[in-house]
Amino acid sequence: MVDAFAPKSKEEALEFLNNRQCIIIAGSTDLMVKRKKWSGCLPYFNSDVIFISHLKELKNIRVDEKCLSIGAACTLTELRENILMPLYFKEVILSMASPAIRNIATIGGNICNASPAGDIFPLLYDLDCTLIIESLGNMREIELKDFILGPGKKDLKKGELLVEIKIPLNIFSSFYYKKVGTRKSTALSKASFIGFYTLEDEKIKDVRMAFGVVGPTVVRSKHLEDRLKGLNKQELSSILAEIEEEYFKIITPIDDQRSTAEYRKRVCLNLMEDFFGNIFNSTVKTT
Amino acid sequence: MNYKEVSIETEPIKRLIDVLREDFKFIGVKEGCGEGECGACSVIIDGKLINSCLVPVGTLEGSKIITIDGYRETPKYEIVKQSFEEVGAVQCGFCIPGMIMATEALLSKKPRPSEGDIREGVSGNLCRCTGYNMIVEAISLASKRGKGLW
Amino acid sequence: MNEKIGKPVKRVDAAEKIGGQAKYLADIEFEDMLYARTFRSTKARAKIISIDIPQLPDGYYIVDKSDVPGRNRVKIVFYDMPFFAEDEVNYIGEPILLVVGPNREEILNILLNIKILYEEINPILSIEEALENARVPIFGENNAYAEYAFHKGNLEIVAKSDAQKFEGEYSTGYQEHIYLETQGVVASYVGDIIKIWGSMQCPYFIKDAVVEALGFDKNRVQVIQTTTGGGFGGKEEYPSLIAGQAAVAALKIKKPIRLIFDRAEDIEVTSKRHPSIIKIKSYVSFDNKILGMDVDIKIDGGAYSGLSNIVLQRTMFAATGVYNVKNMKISGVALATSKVPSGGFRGFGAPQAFFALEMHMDYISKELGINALEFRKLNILKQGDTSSTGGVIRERIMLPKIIETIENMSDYKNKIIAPRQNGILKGIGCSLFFHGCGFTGSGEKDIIKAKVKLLKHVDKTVEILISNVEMGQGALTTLKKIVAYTLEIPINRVIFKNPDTGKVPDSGPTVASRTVTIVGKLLQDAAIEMKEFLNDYIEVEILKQYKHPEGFVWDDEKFQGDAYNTYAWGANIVEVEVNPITYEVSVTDIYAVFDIGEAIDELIVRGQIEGGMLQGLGYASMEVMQHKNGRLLQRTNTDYVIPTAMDFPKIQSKLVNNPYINGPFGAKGVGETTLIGAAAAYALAVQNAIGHYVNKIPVTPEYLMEVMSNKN
Repeated sequence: MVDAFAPKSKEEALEFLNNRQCIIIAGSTDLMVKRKKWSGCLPYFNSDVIFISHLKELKNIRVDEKCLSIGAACTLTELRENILMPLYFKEVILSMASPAIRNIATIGGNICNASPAGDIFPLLYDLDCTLIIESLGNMREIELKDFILGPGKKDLKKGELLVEIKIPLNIFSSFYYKKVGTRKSTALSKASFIGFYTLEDEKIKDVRMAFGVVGPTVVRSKHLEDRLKGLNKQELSSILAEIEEEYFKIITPIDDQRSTAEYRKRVCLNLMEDFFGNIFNSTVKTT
Repeated sequence: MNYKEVSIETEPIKRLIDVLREDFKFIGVKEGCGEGECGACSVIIDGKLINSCLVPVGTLEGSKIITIDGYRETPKYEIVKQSFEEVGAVQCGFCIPGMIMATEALLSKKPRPSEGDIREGVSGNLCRCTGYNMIVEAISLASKRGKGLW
Repeated sequence: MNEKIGKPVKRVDAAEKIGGQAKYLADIEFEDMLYARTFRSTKARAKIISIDIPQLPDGYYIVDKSDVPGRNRVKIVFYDMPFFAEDEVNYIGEPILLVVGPNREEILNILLNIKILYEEINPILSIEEALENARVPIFGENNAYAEYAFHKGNLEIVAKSDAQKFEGEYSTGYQEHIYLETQGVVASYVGDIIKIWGSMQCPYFIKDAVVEALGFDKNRVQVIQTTTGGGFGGKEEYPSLIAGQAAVAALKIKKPIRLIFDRAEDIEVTSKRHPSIIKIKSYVSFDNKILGMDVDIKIDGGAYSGLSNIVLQRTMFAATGVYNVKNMKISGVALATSKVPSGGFRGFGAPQAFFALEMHMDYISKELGINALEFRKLNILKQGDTSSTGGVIRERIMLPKIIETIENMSDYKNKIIAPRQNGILKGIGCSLFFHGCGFTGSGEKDIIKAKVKLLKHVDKTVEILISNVEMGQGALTTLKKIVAYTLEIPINRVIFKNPDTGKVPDSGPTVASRTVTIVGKLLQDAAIEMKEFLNDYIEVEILKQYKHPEGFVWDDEKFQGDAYNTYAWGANIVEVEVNPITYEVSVTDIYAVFDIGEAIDELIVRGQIEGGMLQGLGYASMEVMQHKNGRLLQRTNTDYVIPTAMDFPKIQSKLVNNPYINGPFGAKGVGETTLIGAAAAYALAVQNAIGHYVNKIPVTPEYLMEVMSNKN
């Protein structure tokens, strides 16, 4: 039989994790499905489990002058209802799953699931977020893009617990988000795109684009984004075809039961084109 | 559990839906998929709509759980029930207890919801018989009738 | 009662369903009950070389083909499907044996440890491969469960004439019912009687199948319907399979056996709507009249015949739709493939036929440069015309009024010619259709021969005794209303319990939109007879048997005559906007107008319209079910998606009724009519929006991208 542990504090949780191999359960919305056996049977867990979604230390949301810090056990609904959360965050969350799932699914759980279809990832990648990971007597900070190693794979060692997500504060002129799901609600994503830009003196000061579900991890190229910085409307328009070709190379979706590689790729490129069209508020065409 | 203090000795990883149906005999909670997709197993835990097939019971120490089996004894239920009956929103009925819980969860947060709010409120509850529109109307009617209750 | 019967009443079963008190099969406790779970084939086609069962703990059993005392074949139409696989398996998921016992964890453990050795056979995985017949056939000599053809007039002469020719090929995919309550039965063996409880549409189908499985006398098998959480045709023939398995297990083990499917299991192994490929060749005169049609239909029946031959028939009889086509050749074949067997599903072949036909009609009108609805109006059937099988349409056809009504509701005339606004892809589509109510041809007369009983108790309550079930469609309420209104008594004096074959006669299955029209009519007749005894304090039982109306004839060999005694008619209009960036479709408006004879309850009819149309729209758009090497790719509730409350807008509907003289209070069939036209209307609207022809459903964004980037 499997032992379950409900620690009274984060410290207790870290102690427990230090001493045992166990599965961390936050909202359990993915684990309970993956591990489901037969109705009436216990879900299949091959090691002990530790429940953490109740830990108050993991549920803080706060802002200081540099960044927004979100406790890993904050549920998607809690984030959506918190006044400190930016609007774009709320929009992305609203596109995820269903009300009942958002009420218990946590941002930390989403991240640690490391699913290529995770809707939260393109947003977090665009925002250059970092993760605070603690273990007994130790703490480290790691960029999200380095934490996610591949589908279902993450840089989380034995004894470690994701406790906080830190997002550098930023003001953007605009954001553009589109999730293409299998239907309008409670849907897994076929492809998604989130873009931010900031203009200054009619030039691109900052631009960020991330594509979801079209690679083993989120597709984002700071290198290509840098090429767009400082450009004005005309300069952007002249380099667009080239930029699109470059993105074409790094967007590598697959065929699966939800959609086709061809569709996912085309839609991502269309969304990106539309995003560029919005930047200087005109329709920009590429071949 | 349904307005009464209860305790149970069981495996902490046991699914809440199994505890509700098999240990407490609250058969109003239905299993439609076991994947958190259909919402037929929806209950309200600490004021939040939650799919009971996804919750390990060990996480619920100290929680307040309401299922249709308890909710149907309340005055708010009467308003919702009458609305659903009058509008003709019930067909095979299997999704309906979950819809009622979603209604309660929605109206508790938004006592006068718009049509869009209602559709979003039940967006995680699948129905194959009604096409949803009559359910949406029933919820709207309940919100109008239940002035002051929510 | 002077009020119209259609005035809505509270559904008699609503209160207990709303409060969660209604007991579905999984809610019922049976003393001493054992659980059963199915061990299934993982191969699309193979010989079973050996099965190694692990040592079974006390109280655990295997139930398989060797335990079937009677006939190991499920009675549907042909007898090709076994209850338990014998020497070979023919689809992934085919049941081989049951593991039965008291503890579910232990059962799972046993299942994991069963070792099976297969010798794989080349599967047949598509309609094309089935036709090719290059491998050992699955059925008969050429993989055909059924092959039919019928003619009308003289198509050859028309084909040789200089009439304008149009050709098209259309295809439709699988659809899974996703009734919210999964399939399940419980079987017990007590006092020499096998009892079956279950979620079902046809108690007597199950009884007959179990009787044959066990080799019992009919009076030793009793089937009791439990409150059923949706059917849609998915619980028409499928439950016969699992009821037989559970009955065999109960007989062997002598304890109640509970066999209830998980959702993923249900999606993967139960029957599905037949995929189809339909080719249409039309010949049109220069004044835009359809002179002739050649329709060739192929449907994919999966690994066992099931109801394929009957689905094929209905597809064929719907092939030329609501149009007056004097010359035609209709041919069809139902093919065997190594996949999950296809089966009954609301519409039963008509949704496939009408999709192909209505897309084709718009294609012709586009090529001719005329308004699609105007082209249809020129060709619709009128009272006195003959149907595709040569039966005279005796009743007034309300189509002109239906079309006028829906045109006004939707402003179709203006929208169809509205100039395209830059960048916005808006479209509108209109489908016209019918549904033949009741069993095809002489089915009611020669096969079903429905019997109903009306029993007046001493306390003056009146009980309905029939085998038709409530599965959400409102039968409990509508049939009570018919009896109550006829007898002029309050509805709560009418009793109608879930059918128990031990107590009710066989009034036929709950399918084919026949429950109100046929069975309701018999109940009305019985009630009329009962009226004179109403106030006496005696028990009175009235038995009524189906009588085929005078003058309706059907030749089942040649497919000639009155395929149906009456038709429900309809028009659907859907408006869409297609997103040119993501190719996603948003439906902005939905309109529906039907002639269903008479509404026994307006709210129940509206419920059928709302539910049927949404199920049809799901079929048209997001319900994708594909397979790879015989394994379904979408086999969970997560991957096979059905509409949520956010996917489609409100539906505006109206009834333009023409009472049917042989229907109770004039009622015709509703249940299927409301689904049949939706997919075509949707696809037509998308086609109109993107300016490219759409030839298959589901119309997915992936397909639209293909179509829109194809420069042809």
